[in-house]
Amino acid sequence: MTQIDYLDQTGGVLAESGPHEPVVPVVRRRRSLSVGLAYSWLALVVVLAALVPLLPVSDFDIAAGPPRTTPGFGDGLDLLLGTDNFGRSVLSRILYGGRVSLVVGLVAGTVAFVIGTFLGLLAGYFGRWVDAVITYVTDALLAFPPLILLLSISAVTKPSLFTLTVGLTILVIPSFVRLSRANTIAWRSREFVRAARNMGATSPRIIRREILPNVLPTVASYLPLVIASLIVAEGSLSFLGLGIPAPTPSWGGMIADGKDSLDDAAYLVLVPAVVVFLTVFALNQIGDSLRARFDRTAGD
Amino acid sequence: MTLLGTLRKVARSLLVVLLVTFMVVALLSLAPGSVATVILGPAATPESVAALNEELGLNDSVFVQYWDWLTNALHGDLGTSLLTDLPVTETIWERLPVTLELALLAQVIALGIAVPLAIAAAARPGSVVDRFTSAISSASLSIPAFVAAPILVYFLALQLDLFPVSGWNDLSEGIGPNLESALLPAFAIALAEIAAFQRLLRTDLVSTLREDYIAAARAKGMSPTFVMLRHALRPSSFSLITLLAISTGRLLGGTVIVETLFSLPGLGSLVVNSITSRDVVVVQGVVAFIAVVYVALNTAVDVGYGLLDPRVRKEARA
Repeated sequence: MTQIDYLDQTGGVLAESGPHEPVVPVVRRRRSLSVGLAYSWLALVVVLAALVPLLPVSDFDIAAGPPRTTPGFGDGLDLLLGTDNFGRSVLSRILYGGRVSLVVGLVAGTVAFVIGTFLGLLAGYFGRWVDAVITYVTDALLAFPPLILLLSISAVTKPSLFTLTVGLTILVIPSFVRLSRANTIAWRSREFVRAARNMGATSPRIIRREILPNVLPTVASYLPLVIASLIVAEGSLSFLGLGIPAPTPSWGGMIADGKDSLDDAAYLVLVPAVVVFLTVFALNQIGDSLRARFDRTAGD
Repeated sequence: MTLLGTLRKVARSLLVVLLVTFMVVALLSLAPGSVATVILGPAATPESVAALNEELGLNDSVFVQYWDWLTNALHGDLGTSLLTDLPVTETIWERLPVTLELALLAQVIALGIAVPLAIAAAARPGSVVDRFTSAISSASLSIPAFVAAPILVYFLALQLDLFPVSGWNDLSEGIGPNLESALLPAFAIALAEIAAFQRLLRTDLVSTLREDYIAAARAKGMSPTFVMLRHALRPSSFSLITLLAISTGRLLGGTVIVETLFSLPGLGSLVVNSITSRDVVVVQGVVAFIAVVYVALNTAVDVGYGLLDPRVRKEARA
């Protein structure tokens, strides 16, 4: 992800403007080691999950070795993380399962981001009944504990990648609506917005050209955190057996399958558990660092 | 807070409650075929399915169905299960104590660990203790329940043999056996709460400790412990109390994973079991119950906030 470092840019301009040292020294942002590691881990998971059909690992639904081979080096890539009760490669299942988690998280997060930001802009900008309708529906959706909302959606639909993504999108739209609405209200009455209106700009133009560019960075900086929570939600559903149907692997499903053999083959739970933890942790770290940078309301 | 403001808040949440229950009824009436199939079995003829749909009122419009459901619900009748023929309200009352106990126990554990940690961290911001606890809590916020619970079972129940792996002993069987079966699941739930509480209280404590009256108290020669516990803790705990109330409400529907893993007879496992057996009426009743309790609790917090914090009262009047 490339970001423009505004502070460095200013420093550059100041440095070029004269032979003297800049009056205000360039503030060097301390690159946090944990955020760097977080980006690396995420890049690793995304690249491996995207390229898994090209990698020399067997498919996720065929036996790659004897059942319950413990993880270890020396037996080839397939057996690196061991095999499950049917002899299927755990590495292969982790990577194929990662595809589901990442695609669902990314697609649902992005779609919800677009819809939620749009609705929030409308509610915040127009106020009155538009605001009332959008806020009430948002509040009603937020009244369900997240997993319960997902469960009731899955009670009436057949589990598939599509219904799962739609359910998760509905789940997180309210958060984006709230964020975008609050930010829109903060920008709505600023001088430059009033100036634009006095110059005859229409509402759509003001929203698009004056408010949206200011609201977007703040709302977007929450995207990694939301994707993390979506991966958790998807994992919880598959753990309960209500996610993507078998034999397609998923991280939550792998933990659920492995929990009955905790006694003698704990790695069947520990391997996917560590992968889920690292991925969610990485996304949270990235989200926190982006939020500290782009969200002026974030206090800590 | 004025009386009018309070009334407006209550009216607002009543509207949300109506909207929430409508969503539940509308959503689950989307699959009318499945209800009849659950009752009659997969071998039902199309005619008998149609007749049953007519009898249950499933051919009516969503609004008529909602009206019927709402009037019954207001009379304390959430319908009867399609499978067990038991009234849904009875099942909820039977299951509620388990979930409630888990949620409260988890909150007690979370507070018991989070408050001392937050005080220790806030006493010296930036110190090793502070950085260590904040690293731990941001890590434990990233551990979902379906990851934490099996790992706790592995280490505490299987390796160390401290707790039973699963099952539930009712409170009527004595407090000892009951706690034995409830502690591990409650701890699994508490893990994420600890981190959230610790973060919040630490931030509030640090900003309170910068106030002038703290400096004054210190200048008078009071011990740091006394200042921390008597002067700083109380005014810093308002957001924590709010979070505590809200998260207790959320836990009523948030113990699903843990209840399923440990096979505990609570509300969460009731929802999951009813979904897998397609018992739509039970799902409807329980989900509506959980959502309404959650809204009610949030409103109570919102209204009660003014009673706790004099500053809010003054701001509202000004």
